[in-house]
Amino acid sequence: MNDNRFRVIKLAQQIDKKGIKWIILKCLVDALVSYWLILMPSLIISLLYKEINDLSLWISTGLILGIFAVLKLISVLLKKINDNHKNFMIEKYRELKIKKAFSIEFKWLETSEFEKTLQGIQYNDENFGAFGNYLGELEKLFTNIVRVIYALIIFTGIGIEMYNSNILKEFLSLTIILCILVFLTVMGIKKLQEYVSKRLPDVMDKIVDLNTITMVLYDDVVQNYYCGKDVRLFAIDKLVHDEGEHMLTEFAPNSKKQILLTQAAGIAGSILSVIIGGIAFIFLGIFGAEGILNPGVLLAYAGNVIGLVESVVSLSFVSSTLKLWNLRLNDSFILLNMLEESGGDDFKHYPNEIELRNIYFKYPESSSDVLKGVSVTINRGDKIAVVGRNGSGKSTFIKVLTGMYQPAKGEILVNGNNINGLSINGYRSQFAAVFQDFTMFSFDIGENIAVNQEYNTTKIKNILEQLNMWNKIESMPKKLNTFIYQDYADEGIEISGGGSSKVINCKGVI
Amino acid sequence: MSNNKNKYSFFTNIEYVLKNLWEYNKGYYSWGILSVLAFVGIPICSMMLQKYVVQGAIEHWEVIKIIQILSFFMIVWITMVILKHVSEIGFLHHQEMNRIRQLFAAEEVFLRCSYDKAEDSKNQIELEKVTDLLGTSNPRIEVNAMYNGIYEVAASVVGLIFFGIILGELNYLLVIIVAVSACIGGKIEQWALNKEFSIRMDAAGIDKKLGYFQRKLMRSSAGKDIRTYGCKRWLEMKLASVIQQKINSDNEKTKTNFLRDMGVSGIEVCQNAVVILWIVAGCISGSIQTADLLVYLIATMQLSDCVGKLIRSINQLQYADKDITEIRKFMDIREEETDCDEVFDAPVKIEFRHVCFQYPGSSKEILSDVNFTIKSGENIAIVGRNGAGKTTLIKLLCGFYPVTKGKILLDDQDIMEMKKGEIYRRISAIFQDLVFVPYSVRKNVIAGDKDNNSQRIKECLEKAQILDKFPDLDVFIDKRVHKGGIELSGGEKQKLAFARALYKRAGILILDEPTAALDPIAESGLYKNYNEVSKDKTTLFISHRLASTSFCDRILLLDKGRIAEEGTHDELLKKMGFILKCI
Repeated sequence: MNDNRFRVIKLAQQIDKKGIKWIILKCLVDALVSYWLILMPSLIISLLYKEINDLSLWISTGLILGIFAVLKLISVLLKKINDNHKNFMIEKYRELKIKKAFSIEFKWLETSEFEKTLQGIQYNDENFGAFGNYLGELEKLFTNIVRVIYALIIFTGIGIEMYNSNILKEFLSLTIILCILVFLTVMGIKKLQEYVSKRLPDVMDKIVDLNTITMVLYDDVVQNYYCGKDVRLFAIDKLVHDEGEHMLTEFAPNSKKQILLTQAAGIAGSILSVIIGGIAFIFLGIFGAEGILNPGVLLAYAGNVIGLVESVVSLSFVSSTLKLWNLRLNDSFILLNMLEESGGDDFKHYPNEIELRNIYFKYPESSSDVLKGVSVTINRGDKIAVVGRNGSGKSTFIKVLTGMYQPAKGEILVNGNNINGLSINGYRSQFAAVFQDFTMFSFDIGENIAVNQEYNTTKIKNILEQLNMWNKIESMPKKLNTFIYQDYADEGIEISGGGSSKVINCKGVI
Repeated sequence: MSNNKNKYSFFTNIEYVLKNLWEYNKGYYSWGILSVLAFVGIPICSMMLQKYVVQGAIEHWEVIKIIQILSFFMIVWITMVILKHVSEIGFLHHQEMNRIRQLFAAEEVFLRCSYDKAEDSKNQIELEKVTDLLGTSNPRIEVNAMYNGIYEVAASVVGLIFFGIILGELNYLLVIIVAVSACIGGKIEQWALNKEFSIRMDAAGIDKKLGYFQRKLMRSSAGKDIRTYGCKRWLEMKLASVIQQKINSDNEKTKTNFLRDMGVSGIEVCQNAVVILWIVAGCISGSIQTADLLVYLIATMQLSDCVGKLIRSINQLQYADKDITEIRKFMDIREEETDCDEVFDAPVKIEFRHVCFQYPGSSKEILSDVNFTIKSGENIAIVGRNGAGKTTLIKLLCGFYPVTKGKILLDDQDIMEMKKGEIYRRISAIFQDLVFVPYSVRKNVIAGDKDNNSQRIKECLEKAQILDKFPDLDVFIDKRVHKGGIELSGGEKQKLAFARALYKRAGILILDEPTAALDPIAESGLYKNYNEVSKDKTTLFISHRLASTSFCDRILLLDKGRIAEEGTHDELLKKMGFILKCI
């Protein structure tokens, strides 16, 4: 379980070694900037209070403003570097997932579980940008932790100042009271979050129910363009209108509840911070009126308290948000953790003989064997027809023969040698199979046939001429560079099933 | 054209949204005002608290006085924060309810307009666009930007006035400097937004390619071919180059944001510097109290924020403007007058006189010179091949399209001179595409009728041979949304539609291929009932099976848009040869 919490950070470091470090650096500077903004007026007021000479005042003010400007500049620069690194990490993460899908063991691809995983990746991860958002929340986490650290440093500094003015006791008691209040605030927020998470699902369910009815109503009646006749003759629009009104009255209180519940914890945090801040101000005002302290120091303390409370309240939310984003990445990590097939080079020579000996095979999600003790020897030059009824196992046989699936029992021998030690790629490279549900990749025709970005145009032309297909391609304006379909490049052409199968057959020949 | 411009101008659009909110969701205004109050009040409380802490320290006030003043402001501050959150919730709630109400209204427009408009694919596309716009509460979608934009404009104008006055106490020159520099900041942000938009447009092609990899190539169908042909290396190379393009495009955006941030931060630093230096000079010369430093500093930041907000929200409104125009144009599609309280259950006489028809925008004549009269109470069958014009004839009869030439008369009245409601009230029909609502059987049988008579519903269900399926009239007929609901088969759906058609007391009953989904037993059951149900109505039975029309009084054979033959079943059988060619 613990492993899960850090998996995103580990993955991010794997992709980009420096990524996390830049995030931390940015957070350090950002927190500093935010605190400097709080401290600036306090410093200046304290300088004015001390009534130093004019020149020193101007120089100090200039210095303070100068530091502010420099810090801002650095923070903007760091943001740019950080964003570039984040972009890199997010896109490389995408690439990693896609490459994984190319490399995993084929037997998982056709399972319904994998289909669910893919859908989960698309909906939960990609749709919401979960990875990027997780990194964003991580930034918030680091920033707030650093802010708390700065707040404690400033408290210490103020404490020293107060020690010199002999009111350490009052200062400490105030600080302790405030810390207790902050602690209670955090507890209160946590309790509230628990309450919300119990009540919210019911409200959400009701809303989803109402939404579903509305969606179905409108899908079936309004957007069903064939049914306009019935709608008008039977005055169904009146029915729809009445139901719509009814829906609105039922929806209204639930919608309000939903907004209230989702924002409850945040609102509580905000109100409690203000209360704590107000208490701090009053006590500081008393200290100030009693002439004890430099008002600049008072302000710094007040600002610090408010900053501290804000950071702590933020932190109490960040952990649950991080958990949520992490949850959305579940399916993606399932994919990333799947085993890959071994690579390997293509075979250099065509084999003389392939033998399947006593093959037993069943699909991962089923319980009964599809192939039961199949044995066959294929010699070089043989032309074999595989026939059988539907469901007799023809496609399965081919899939096992071509190395898509590995049999549970039995052996496959090439030229008398068991293929166990050989690479899967190598074994597969001997076969060119055209399945019923083949795919044409939406790249250009030349690449589709050559299975490579660069290809020998003449060689392909020769083969296409042999198959009587060159004329059609020659008539196209871009010839071999014509893209197929339009889901990759807008300038693709539409191609019929027959046309595409011809191209696939070329691939097979090559 | 200029009429159009004035009708849907920017200001009329805003007026439209405001009026709509006022009519249905007044809460938007009341919560909105409170929200603006809190928006201005919170920084003011914050600045007062800080000011008095400092002032109390410098001027050595009495403890009682300090406690009183600070407590006062603290209570106001806490009240304001509570007010802010409460009003935000109320505000969001009303915004959301208004949006949903508009969504429903848009969908109903489509149900109430004339049929020819509903069949027009242009309007269908518009419907989808409008429901897309109104259908989501995503705040980046422009319609919500309109609601937000109006509020933000109001809030920023009020803030401008308040904080402008506060800062103006120092010097109005400062106000101008801050305001102008904030405008420049706003322009920089606008530039960055536009640049980002154009980068996104350019990147659309890359996103499409990436989407292709993610959606198609990760699946098992591609996986087979990838492994068979060893495509992995090739595809990985292609993928790498697409990913690199995406990273480059993302980095372009980062660069734009960097330049924007530099500009905006620079302005912020300068604003703060100017105000602080001014105040320090003032403090040195004694004309300004030290305690007021914070007041002016906060006022500066708020003023600058408000100017920026104002610019942003006006831009937001301008983006939303064209979407609101689209919505309004759609809502302005005229309703038909379908209200009609009269009941026309006496059988109707139908006459077609030299009727010709072409669909709008097409030159092909679907019906040419169609002439026939159906006496009241007659049972007529209309037969013909697919595409002969049967369904079109029915559409014209119902008044769904206006005839191109000729007249259609119901009870000797031209339907062009009748209100649509009066035509619809006379006709009850079962078409091939059935529509049901996801509610109870009762609601589906009654539909829009005002009369809710359980006994009559049961009679109609019985005549339709489906009473046994529904012992409880209030059971839901849709399992998708109601867990205890019933699933209906194709045949059962047709029977339910038949019950609905019977329930409506109309003088004309039209059955368009009513037995298509029924099995032979149910079909013959229907024919047995047919005589009975068609007793006191004029019925039209459309079919392409001559055999199924033997119980009709007369048969009209429609071929190539004309009445080719007319006669009883037996008369037509004698002309078998010709008929067989036509069916």
